[in-house]
Order: sequence, then C-alpha cells, then structure tokens
Amino acid sequence: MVTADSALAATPGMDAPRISWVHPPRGFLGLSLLNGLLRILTLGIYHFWGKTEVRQRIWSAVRIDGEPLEYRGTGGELLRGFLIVFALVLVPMALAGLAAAILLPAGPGRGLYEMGFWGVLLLLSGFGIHRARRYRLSRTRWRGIRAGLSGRSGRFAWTYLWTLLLVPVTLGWIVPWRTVRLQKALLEETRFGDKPFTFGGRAGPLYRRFWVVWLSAVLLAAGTLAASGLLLGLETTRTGARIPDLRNLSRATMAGMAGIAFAALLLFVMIRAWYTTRVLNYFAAETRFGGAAFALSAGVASFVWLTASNYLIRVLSLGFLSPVAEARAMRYIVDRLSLDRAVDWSEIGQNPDALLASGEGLAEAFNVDAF
Amino acid sequence: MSTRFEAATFTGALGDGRSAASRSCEVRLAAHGLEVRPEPEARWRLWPYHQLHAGVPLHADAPDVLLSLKPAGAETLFVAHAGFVRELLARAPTLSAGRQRWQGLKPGLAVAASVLALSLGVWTLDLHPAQAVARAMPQKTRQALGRNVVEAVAREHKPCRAPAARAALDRLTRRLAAAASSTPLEVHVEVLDWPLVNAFAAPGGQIILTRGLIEQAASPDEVAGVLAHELGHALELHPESGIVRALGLGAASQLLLAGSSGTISNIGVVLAHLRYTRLAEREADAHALRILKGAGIASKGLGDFFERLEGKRPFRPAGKGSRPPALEVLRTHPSTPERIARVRAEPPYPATPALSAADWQALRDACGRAAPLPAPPRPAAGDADRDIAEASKALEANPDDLAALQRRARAYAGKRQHELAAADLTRALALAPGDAGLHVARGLAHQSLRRYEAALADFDAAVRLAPGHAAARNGRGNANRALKRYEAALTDFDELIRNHPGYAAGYYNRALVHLDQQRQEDAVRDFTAAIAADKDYAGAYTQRGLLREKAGEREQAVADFRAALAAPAKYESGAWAHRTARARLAALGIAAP
Repeated sequence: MVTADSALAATPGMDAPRISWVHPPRGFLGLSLLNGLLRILTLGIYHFWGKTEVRQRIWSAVRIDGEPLEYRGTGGELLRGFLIVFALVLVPMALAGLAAAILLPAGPGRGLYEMGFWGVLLLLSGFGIHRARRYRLSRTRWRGIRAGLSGRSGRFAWTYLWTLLLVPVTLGWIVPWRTVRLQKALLEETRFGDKPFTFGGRAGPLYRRFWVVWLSAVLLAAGTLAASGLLLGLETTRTGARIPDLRNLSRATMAGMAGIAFAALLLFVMIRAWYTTRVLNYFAAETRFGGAAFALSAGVASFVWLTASNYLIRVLSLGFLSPVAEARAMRYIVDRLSLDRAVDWSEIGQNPDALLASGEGLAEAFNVDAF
Repeated sequence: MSTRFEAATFTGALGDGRSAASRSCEVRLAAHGLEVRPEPEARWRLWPYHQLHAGVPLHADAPDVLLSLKPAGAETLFVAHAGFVRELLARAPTLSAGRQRWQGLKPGLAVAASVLALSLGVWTLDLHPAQAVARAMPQKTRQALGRNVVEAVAREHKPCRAPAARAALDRLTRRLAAAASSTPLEVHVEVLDWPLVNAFAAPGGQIILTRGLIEQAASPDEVAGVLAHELGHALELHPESGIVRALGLGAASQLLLAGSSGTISNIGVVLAHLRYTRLAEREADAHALRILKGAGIASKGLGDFFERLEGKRPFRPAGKGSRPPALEVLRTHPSTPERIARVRAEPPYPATPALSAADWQALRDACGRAAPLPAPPRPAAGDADRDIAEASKALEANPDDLAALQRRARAYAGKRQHELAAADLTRALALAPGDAGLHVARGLAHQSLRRYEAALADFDAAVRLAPGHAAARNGRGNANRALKRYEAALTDFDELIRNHPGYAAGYYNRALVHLDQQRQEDAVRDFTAAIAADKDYAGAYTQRGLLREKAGEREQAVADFRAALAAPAKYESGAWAHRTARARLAALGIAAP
C-alpha cells in the first residue's frame, strides 16, 4: 500500500486561519461564454443554472486553511424563487401600473399613486437585499458547517427605506451613518455555524473622510460650472453674440467643456474610492468572529483599477462576462483579507437553522438578485 | 507510486459536520465507492459513488475535490490530489461538468422547445393573439388608454388649438373618416407644438400630428396622406395591439430571460416589434390609398411625403440657425422605395385639394408661428421670371387655371410688381370667392401700393371667412393703423395675440400703434413681448433701443442695437432695423461689429 502525497498542509496548531484565493485552472472566461450560449439556446432559462455553476466555482476558489468554501444552492431553487417573485410581485405591479394608466387621469391622484408605487418598490428592494443575502449565506458551507442570516427581512427593509428617504433631506450627510447602520443590521445577524459575527463599527470615523467627499462634490460641481461659464464667456467675446448659442458652440469650447467635466468626474471618482476603501477596511477591522478580528488592506489605486476594469468588462461584453468581473471582485477582497488570531474551529457547531434552511419554502426561494 | 490504482491510498481532510474542525483521513477508490478511514480509527467506511456530491462540477484537470454525500450530508471530504480526481471521474462520471450541465439544461430545453412549438402553431394557424385581445377591449377602455398617451405627450409639447386650425382639421378628418369606414368612426386629431416631423396613432382613434410635419408638408394633400395612413393604423387597432403585444412580450421575456442582462431580452423584444411594425405599415398604407380615393384626395401627396422622407425631396430649412428637423419618423415608419412605388402605381382619379387655401394657411398657423404666407419665402429673381413665363403659358391654354394665377401673383409680388399681382388675384378670387388666403394676398398687394381702404376691405373679407386666420387679422390691424383707426387696430392685434400668443409680429405691430399714440411704456412692453416670442426679431430690438436711447438708458440701448445686428433680417422691418441700429451705434461712438 502506497500513500500518495497530499497538497494539504497539515498544521493543526493555533495559527491564525489563512484566507486565500486558489484560482481555478479553467478560470471564468470559458464558463461565462458557455453560459451565455446555453442561456440563449434555452431562451434564458439556463441563466439560473449558469449562475449556480459560477457561484460554485467562485466559492470553491476561496480557501480557509487550504479548504474550500462550498456553494450548495441549485438552479432549480433560483428559478422557483424567481417564479414566485414574478407571480407575487412583478405581475401585480405591472397590472397595477396598467390599471393606473387606464383609470387614473394625470393629476394629483396619479402623482400620489406613483409615489406609493415607488415607495413599495424601494421597500421591496430592501426586502430583496436581505432575502438574497440570507439565501446565499444559508447555501454557503465550509467543512460542512453552514453559514446563515437570522433576523427579519421586513425590519431590514424598513430601515433601508426610511434611511434612504432621509438621504436627500440631509443633503447626503446621512450616508455614512446609514452605511454603518445597514452593515450592522446585516453583520450582527450573520453567523457561521452556531457562532455570530460581531460588528463594532461607528459612523464617526467614516465622517472624518466623508466630509472631504461631500465638500469635493460641491466644489467640483461649482468649479466645473464656473470653468464652463468662463469658456462660454470667452466664446461670446469672440463671436460678439449677447447670449452664447448653445447649439452652435465652437469645437474648442465643446472639447474644453467636456474635458473639464471628465477631469472633475475622474477626480471625484478617485476621492470617492479613497472614502470607499476606508469604509471597507474599517468595516473589516470592526468585524470579529470567535475572538479574531478581520483585517483588510484595500488600496485606492488598486480599488479604482478593479472598479473601472470590471465596469468595462461588463459593458463591453454586454454583460456576458459578468462572471469574470464577479470573480475578480471576490478575489480582490480575499487576497487582501486576513484574521488576526487563531479560531478554535472545534468550538463551532452546526448551524441550528438547519431544518429551516433545507425547507424549500417561499422564504428561502424569495432570492432574486434582479431587484 | 503504485501502478495498481485500486490499492492507492490518498490523504484527505474529513469534516464531521458537527463542528468546524477537520481531521486527517485516508481515502481509497474501491469498486463501489470511496473507502474512508479517519485517523486514528481502524474501520473503513464506504461512500458509495452514486451518492457522491462534488462542490464544483468536475473537470479532469481539477487539482482537488470537495465531496459530500447526497442529499444533504453535512460530512465533507477534501482531497487535494489531481490523480485522485482523475480516478474518481472515471468511476463516478455523473460528477463531471458535462453531466452536471446536461441536468441543468433539461428544463431550459423543454421550455425552449414548447415556446418554439407554440410560436409555430400561432404562425401556421395565422393567429393574431394581440389583435384578438385588442378587439375584445371595450371602446371606452381604448379611448381612456389613448387619452392618457396623448396627455402624456401633450405635457411636453403644447397642443395647438387655434379655432380656425381646429375647424380646418375637423373638416379634413371628417372627410377622411367618412371614406374610411361605413360605420361612424370616432377619431380625434390633435396638433402639437413640436418641431419633430412625425405623426402617431394612439389607441381609441386618437391621432397626433406635429407642427414639424405640417411645416414640412408642401401641400394639404401631404398632410391628408399622412392622416389617412394613421387612420389606417387606427382601423386595424395597431396601437392597441402594439400595447398588448409589448405587455405580453415584456412579460414573456421577463419570465424567460429572468435576471439575465437586460440587453438580450430588450433586443429580442425590439426585433419582434419591428417585424410587426413593418407589416402594420403595409396594412396602413393600403388603407391610406383606399381612404384617399374614397375622399377624392390625390394620393400623390402621400407619395411626395414618402419621397421627402427618403431624401428625394428636400426638407424646408426650419429657420436660420436651427438644427435640421428631427427625422424621428424614419425609425418607426420605414419608408422604402417599395412603399413609394406602391403609392405611385395608384391610377389617377378625380380629386380636389384636401383643404382650401384658407384652411391650409389656418392649419399651418395652428401653433401661432408665422409660417411665411406664400410657400417659398422669397424666390430669386430668375425663379420669379420663370414662374411668370410658365404660369402665363398655362393661362393661355386655360384662363381659369387657379393654381397658375396664384403662382404668377406670388411671382409678381416677389418682384414688387404689386399692381400685376393684385390683378391676377382679382381673377383668382372670381374663381374662388370664398378663399381667405387669396383675399389676404390681395390685401397685402394693396397695402404695398398704399391703397389702404382696398386693403382693409380684403383683410375684412378674409377675417370674416376665417376668423382664426393670423395673417388676415394682422393685415387688418396694419391697414386700420395706416388709416389711423387706432381703436380698431388695437382690437385686431389684441384678438390676434389672444389666439396666437406665439405670433411675434402681432406684438410688434401693436407696439407701433402704441408709438403712434405716444404710449412709450406700452410700446416697450410689446417690443419686449415680440422679442420673447422670437429672440431673432431685429426690428423689435432696434425699436426698443431707440425708445431706451430717448429715455437716457444708454447701455440698455446699446445692448439692444447690438442684439438687432446679431439677429437675421427675417421680417420686412429687418433691413431698416440693421441700418438704423448701425447708425445709432456710430452716433453713440461705439464701433458696430
């Protein structure tokens, strides 16, 4: 009898868990294209199965102490969830919209109706975010132990809605507070096995960077307007017209205005990324599991590159290569994520929600990423 | 390594599913399943091949594999060894990516096959499900739907409801509708103040015409052709079917292409829609030809309009400095040589113009814009001479050729031979005494000859024939002013402005009355209103500049003179306005541009 070598590093000591990305040998390009083809062939139905295989591959590339995460969801579950949402949400809302178009004349009644319509839609999107996350976590396993999300989706949806409505009222100043509040709601209800995650994040540290973002948005908008106005002024002194003819601007003026707007946008994207990476790193540092704290080292330049390149990948491939972008985003986090001390895995038991999680009822099937 | 693989033993990590700890184990591939022995136990346990579930669908080149037992076993086994994966695949081929995908494909293929069968059925049996649903809709529902569509568009683009235009349009609509169907047809046509060249049929027999389309049409027959085409759409319930179809296809594509990137689904819906559209256009064209014939209107207008869309006929310039008219109509109304050929192939039949000259002018003035009265604004001298020669020839052959008389009168007026123009118009009026447009044209000729009483009589007649006729009302106001009947002139301009608030010359001319009566402030207000209605009104700028200069407002006066010079000479006062503004600027010691 011969014992073959295993690539497993068998060091059961009390080192901090290693989080790593093991890129699948076939990558994601071929799978994306194959899924796209099969989706067309089946009039889109294969979408749910294709999505499931992409998730299986991404999950299995994430390794903790060398062993992979496992995605146990199925295409059938996603399809069922979609059909339920289609019948209970999309069709009734479309019918309600149609009925309003026929019965309600334009006027205050129609406006009120449309406000209510959008309110329901926003409430449902908060609901959907929570449901989708719950479904995905309940289908995620490591060493056979399931993750999960307890808590009520309805409560999360309310928080999501009323904090969102306050964004315009507070001129955006509520955004960091809201981000922390929503993250806390999600993370403190997340568990792996029978152990919860804890989240100690506060909004204060985020505001230290957020005011720069807010101020720069205002200043860049004002600066762009002023610079454009200056260019228009130059144009009028050149042409002698009293009011610049916006439909007949010279090419130089138009290029100048576009260039200024683009430069301002680029600068703003960099400043926002500077803030977003701060949020990500801070959230990781404030997240604990089993006594160990996470650490994330997302950098501004690499984050901007990831976001921009992923955007181009999605847009230029008409969405066909979204799996490539998804994998890159996951890898970006995994490559930069670590835990600061050892976790006693033997202390972590199976998730008690087991029975509920395997029931294929409406609650679990409600997952639709589409909204 | 052993060549007898049955005996090969691999190391793995076993999770018991009760805690997140894992322990090392030995694994070997036996005949019916994996044999697993966790250390330090002595007993081998069997994981049957047919019960295995792999974390990812397996490829032969996978470096490792995560296994568990179906259906939902919490125990996991992780083996990081490429050779083990190859061996496992050979014994448990259902774990392969190919087999796994085939399982996932089955439902999709079943749905695709049934959709294909269903479509084939609809196609071969020549069913029109959308149209069937549309026919089943009560007329009230259709009208309510259509009203909402029209209201939504009218929110962006003001409806033009000048009474004379309304009456003209109603006359034309009735004439066409009577020919369209033996049963009474409920049709409502609305003109919107919109530069786009287009016409739409909304549900419930509601039709929208744009100002752009009316301005671009060279004759009322062209508008009648387009209207008949839209009536064809209404008869076939195309708008209603379109909405039903869009809803149905939208729901189906949502259902089928759930969550996948919107691009594919949208392209599908649009393509399906376009195919229907082309078919629908052919049906609407057939109706249009039938309706035009029944109404005794020449189908040439429809063909002319198609050719204009095809680029074979020029579009009129929509005014200096503005963009060419948006040809949105091309997108939804594919105008193909084949369609033109079908219209042109129609044998000639006795026909009369779709609208009288007065009605046509009223329709062109529907939105209160001063469309230049004689169709081409100012023909070049050579063109005028040619027009005179050709029209004279036609009149030798037939002295009662109304069109030739009108053409020659227009040419004479262009050459400032107003006496001759008036003579021709008098002959024309003997042939068509009820034509308000002819009265207006003769009134303008008399006005140019300073025969104000005669001019007033003509404009008076035109206003009586067409009370909403902007140019007639404007002409009568000017004639009254020339005769120093200021109260009557003011009444005319007030009425003109009330019915045509966008008619800039109305304000200008009323301001002149104010000036005659020494009401400088009222005059400034009206010149300002004229500029608001048309920011290129050179005369209004100069007039206001003169008043401001007199009032000691030097800077404002200079700004007005400059604006006058920057504006094109669109109106009769244009040349005077430029000349005066330049002179005043020079007098004020400012270099004119």
